[in-house]
Amino acid sequence: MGIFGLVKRSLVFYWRRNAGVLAAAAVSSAILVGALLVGDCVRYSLGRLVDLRLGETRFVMTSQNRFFREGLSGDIGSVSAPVIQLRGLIANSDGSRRANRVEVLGVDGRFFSMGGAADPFGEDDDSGLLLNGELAERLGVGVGDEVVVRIGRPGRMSRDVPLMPDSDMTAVYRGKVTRVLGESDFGRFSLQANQVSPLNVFVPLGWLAEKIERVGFVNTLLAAGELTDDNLQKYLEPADFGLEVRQLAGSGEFEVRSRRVFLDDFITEALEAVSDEGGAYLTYLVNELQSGERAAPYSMVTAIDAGMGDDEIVINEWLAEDIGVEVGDSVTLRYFVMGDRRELVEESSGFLVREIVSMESMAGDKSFMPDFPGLSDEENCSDWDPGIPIDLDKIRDKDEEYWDDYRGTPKAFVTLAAGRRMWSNRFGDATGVRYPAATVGREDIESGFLANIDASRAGLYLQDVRKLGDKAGGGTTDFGQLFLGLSMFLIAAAGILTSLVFAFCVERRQGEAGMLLAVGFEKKLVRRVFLLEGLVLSIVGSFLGACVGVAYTKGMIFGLATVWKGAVAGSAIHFHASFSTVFIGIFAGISISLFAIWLTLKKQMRRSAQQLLRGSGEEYFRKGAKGKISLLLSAVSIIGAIAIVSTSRSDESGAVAGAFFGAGSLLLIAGLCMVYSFLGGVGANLIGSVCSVRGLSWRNCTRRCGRSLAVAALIAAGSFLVVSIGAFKHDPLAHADERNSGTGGFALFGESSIPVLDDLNSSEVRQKIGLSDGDVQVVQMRVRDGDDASCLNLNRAQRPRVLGVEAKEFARRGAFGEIRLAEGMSADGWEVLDADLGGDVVPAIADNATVIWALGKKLGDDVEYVDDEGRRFTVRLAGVMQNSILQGNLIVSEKQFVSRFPSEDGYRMFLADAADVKIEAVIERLSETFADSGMEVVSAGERLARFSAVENTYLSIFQLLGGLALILGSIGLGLVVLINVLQRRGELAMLRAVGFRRDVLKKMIIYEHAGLLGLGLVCGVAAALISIIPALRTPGADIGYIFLAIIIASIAFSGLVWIWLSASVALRGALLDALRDE
Amino acid sequence: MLELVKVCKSYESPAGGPRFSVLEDVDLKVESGASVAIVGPSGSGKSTLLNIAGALDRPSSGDVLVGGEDIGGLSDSSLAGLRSRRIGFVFQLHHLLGQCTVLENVLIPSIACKSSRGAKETEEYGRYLLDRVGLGEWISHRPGELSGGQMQRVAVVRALINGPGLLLADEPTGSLDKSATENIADLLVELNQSEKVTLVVVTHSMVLAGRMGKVLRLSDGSLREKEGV
Repeated sequence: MGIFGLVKRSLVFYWRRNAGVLAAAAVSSAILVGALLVGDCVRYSLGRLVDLRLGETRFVMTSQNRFFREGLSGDIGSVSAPVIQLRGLIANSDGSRRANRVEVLGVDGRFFSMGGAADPFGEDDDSGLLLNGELAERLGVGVGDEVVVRIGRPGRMSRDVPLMPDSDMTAVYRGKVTRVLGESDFGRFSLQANQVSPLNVFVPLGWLAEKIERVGFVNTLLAAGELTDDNLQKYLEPADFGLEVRQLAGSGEFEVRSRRVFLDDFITEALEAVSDEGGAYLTYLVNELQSGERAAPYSMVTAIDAGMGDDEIVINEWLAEDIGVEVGDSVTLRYFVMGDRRELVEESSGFLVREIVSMESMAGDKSFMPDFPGLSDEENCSDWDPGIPIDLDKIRDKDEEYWDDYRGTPKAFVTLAAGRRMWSNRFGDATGVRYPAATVGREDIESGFLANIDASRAGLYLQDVRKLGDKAGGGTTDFGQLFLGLSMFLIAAAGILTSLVFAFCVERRQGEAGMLLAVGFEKKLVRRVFLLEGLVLSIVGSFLGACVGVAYTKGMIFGLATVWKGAVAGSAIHFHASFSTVFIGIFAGISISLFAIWLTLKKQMRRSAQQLLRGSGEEYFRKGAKGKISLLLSAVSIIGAIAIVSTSRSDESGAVAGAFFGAGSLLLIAGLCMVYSFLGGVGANLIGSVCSVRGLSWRNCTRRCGRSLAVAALIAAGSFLVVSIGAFKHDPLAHADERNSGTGGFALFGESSIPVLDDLNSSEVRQKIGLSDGDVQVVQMRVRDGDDASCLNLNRAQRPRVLGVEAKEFARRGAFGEIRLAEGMSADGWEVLDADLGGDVVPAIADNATVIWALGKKLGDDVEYVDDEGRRFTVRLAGVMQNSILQGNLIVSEKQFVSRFPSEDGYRMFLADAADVKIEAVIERLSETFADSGMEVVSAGERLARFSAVENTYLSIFQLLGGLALILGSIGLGLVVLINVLQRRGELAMLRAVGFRRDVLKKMIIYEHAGLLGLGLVCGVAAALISIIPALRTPGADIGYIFLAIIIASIAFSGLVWIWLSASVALRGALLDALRDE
Repeated sequence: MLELVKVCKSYESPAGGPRFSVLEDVDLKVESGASVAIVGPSGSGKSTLLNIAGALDRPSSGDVLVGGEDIGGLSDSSLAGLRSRRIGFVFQLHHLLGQCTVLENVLIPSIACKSSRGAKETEEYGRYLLDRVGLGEWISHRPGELSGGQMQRVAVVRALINGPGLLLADEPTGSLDKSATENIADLLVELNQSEKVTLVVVTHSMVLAGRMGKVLRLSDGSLREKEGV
């Protein structure tokens, strides 16, 4: 028989005791495997979602409200699908249920092929209406039910241009649901990396294109396979930029104009570069052309290079006659210029008449007038609806006649420079470019333009959404590590438990160890024999634990789907276990158990052979250096803890958490050092007398000082966690009305599906809503859709949603408390948004949680974006605020927003101040008035509560795991009682023999271990109460003292029950037999 | 075979006072093949003396020679080797492994140090010894199935398995009745004579002590030959 034979014999012979070690090792491994597998499951589920929402899509080209040819999809030769993607809202037939922020997708069979699904539209089904499962469930509708869809119609130019009428912003369609699409039908399609299912309505591409008057055009292209921007560029045509090249009937010139009315600067530049002979012009609707008392209303004026001075004007003879002017007279132009928020400001400029031209000359060219919506197509002036206020009373009969005869023929011409000075705006500074046909042909223009243009500036560039999706699917939070962190105490408790059980086994066999030493085994060989036993137990236990861990994972996933769904924002987490993760968990479990066993053996094997043979060698505490060192360590720890608590910042969650863990750990160490010192005082006969049952109990605690300390530490750490976590749970509604709270002091939060163009604080809108200035004040924010970077999204946001806001609106209110600025920022608080950081750097403020957790960045870091013109720019995280309702977004100044994302019309996010008594009325009025925009208004507190629910759920999990650890701690305590009593059975028999009653002995044992329980509780609770002081200073912190008292009482009660049970079991039977055994 | 020269052993006082002495200038010389009993009152240091002689403990001062070799300078590892090859121990409590059979218990010391015999030969030797002490029928039994005297005989055989020249027994009959004590005494004497094993026995039992060639008394830290034996 060799070492292994001996190990095998021992494992079998002591199987009962070994089962305890096995179970403890299994617990460690189960917790580790379980925690790591949760990470696997989340990663797997997010990875699976990338496939579900993108199908085979690798690249996407989405040009917002610019539209390009549907045919481009076929041209590029790759597997691709043209899509029209619009925002909308939907309601069931009676309007009782509605869903805002819905994606309306115009698709065809090519789209579904990308998702590996069959084309759900039938042959003759040209108006099918398909909902995805989530949306159907939200509306409570199924196949055959009628729904009403309101679609945000794309404007021909930005809706922020006041020339665009707001009457046709949306289109409503009523139809029957023909099918509900599940995940496998590509119903989960979304370009945003978010685990929450989107709300999608699918309609036939052709049908939608017709409804929004964009037949043959789309705004999104999905492509699979390998594709580059250079490939794409080869297939582009001017039509993809919204351009039309036409030959003018009269002059034969070629003209390029835009469907968007104004030509973007970069397009004008590219067109002008085609030929030196090309000339841009800008035609504008002026309110009045006036000379003296006479004026002509609502006329077109064209700015063009015409060889005259910038203060000169050429007018046609009709106008000259109308307002009675001659060459040399002055004419005043009154016109609107575009302010912010569709605001129109009337300005005027004066010119001297240089020439009066006949209607038959080039000045009589009707084609100078661009296709102003609501104007150019109208038969009569009285039908005009151009978006700007028109006083139809000013229109005279002769104006109608002019319209009949000459339509929008310009009545006057100024130089291009003068025109641009007056009417240039962010949407462009030309309405057309003309080329002489004699020298420049159509092909020259088209090829020249395409050679000069940077397509990405028109949004015609490819984004590798698959790559972004995979990166995002990497997950903001490594749930494996998170659960591992949350379970750390539980794992430590299991480790200590393993150590205790193993110590119990080894101690019962100390005679065996002594004998082996006596017969010539070296200590290391004896240690190796026991360690081998431990290794086998750890391995078997860890493998068993892995099986339990799988069940434990399923339990946690069930928890994440039910009671903890807040932690994963309600998303479905699917079970998935990878071999490597299970192996790592098993390996870590074995390592932890083996380490605990090794530590135990190291201590046990310190004893000599004689001590082991005699069963002696107990560690009685001796007065000396150890006691002084522990007291010194205790003092140092307390000073450290006080320093942390007094210097921590209460306005920063990270700092508060850091202070909590820092101070808490130090206080725990201090407390346990004091316990050690106290036990030492008792052991060294300095404290208390032994001449009482209680005194004897205290003295008994000192027999195994290390073990006593381990029990006290288990209880202390467990109670510390469970007690303190309770204090970190915030009531989001507490102090929610304060400006420095997460609501910013705003009462309401609103979001709309379709942009609201108006200034909600203007008196006209107020009248429309039926609210006065005193009722509500609104801060409006522009929105550039992007990834949700809040804690509600499990993915790592790559390009978070951007909000554009007037910084002064927040600054003057002092909203959201102190803004912590990055180094080198000189501005104050919100004003940093207006700071000039040079060139392509835009300052932004974001929620601290967004920056740290969702983006994985820190204050002062940069996030790369691409603007509407395809130019890369940097958003610098210049400031952070604490947990707020704006979590998940990067906030930039409205000015920067508009210049970077001019295609984003209007406002889609709102914060409102409202008097308490008016809140319900304001919600009702705003929701009703902007129902067509899909306005959804909630109380700001409610929104904040959604974010807080995530944090509070994590705390609940932490608390639960802490509770589980306490259970293990209690088992440990019970085990220690058992070990102690069994080891001292002879001694107890002696006490019984000399006259102690059994109940007195039980009392003694209970006192002894209840003392340890009490010491552990005092340490843990005191450390918890002191270390949560910084957390109590944060807004919304509200400690539940009754809850805490109940928790402490429960811990004490459960501990006492275990002690009582163990003491009862251990003292059962004929104690006096132990004397005879001796 | 065994020689102790001016061996002293003292311990620190737990209360931090002056050290207290257990053994003072003890001299002992045991010739090869001799048998010696050491008697004395409880607490006189008999077991301490035996532990020092058996390399389980080290003296505070003085020399210990086993087979003429001074073991004072040996490392713990070398001492373990010495114990396994040249010294056999028998304790008051047998400390048999409940998980192993009688034969396996006997073979345990051979795990610590491979003897010059092969495994098979060692096992045969174990069987032979067990047979000699009357336990040939019990080799496959577990210790729990044996009487106290039988268990102690197994412990004696275990001590002899590596063929040590020196057998140290610490109160080997301390937990046995009179009849079993006599059996063990017979066995030890027989082994001393037949196997030429040097025997040093610490005992309170005058029956056992009387069977040894020489009886020494340890008292007040000194070792003297007991008169009248």
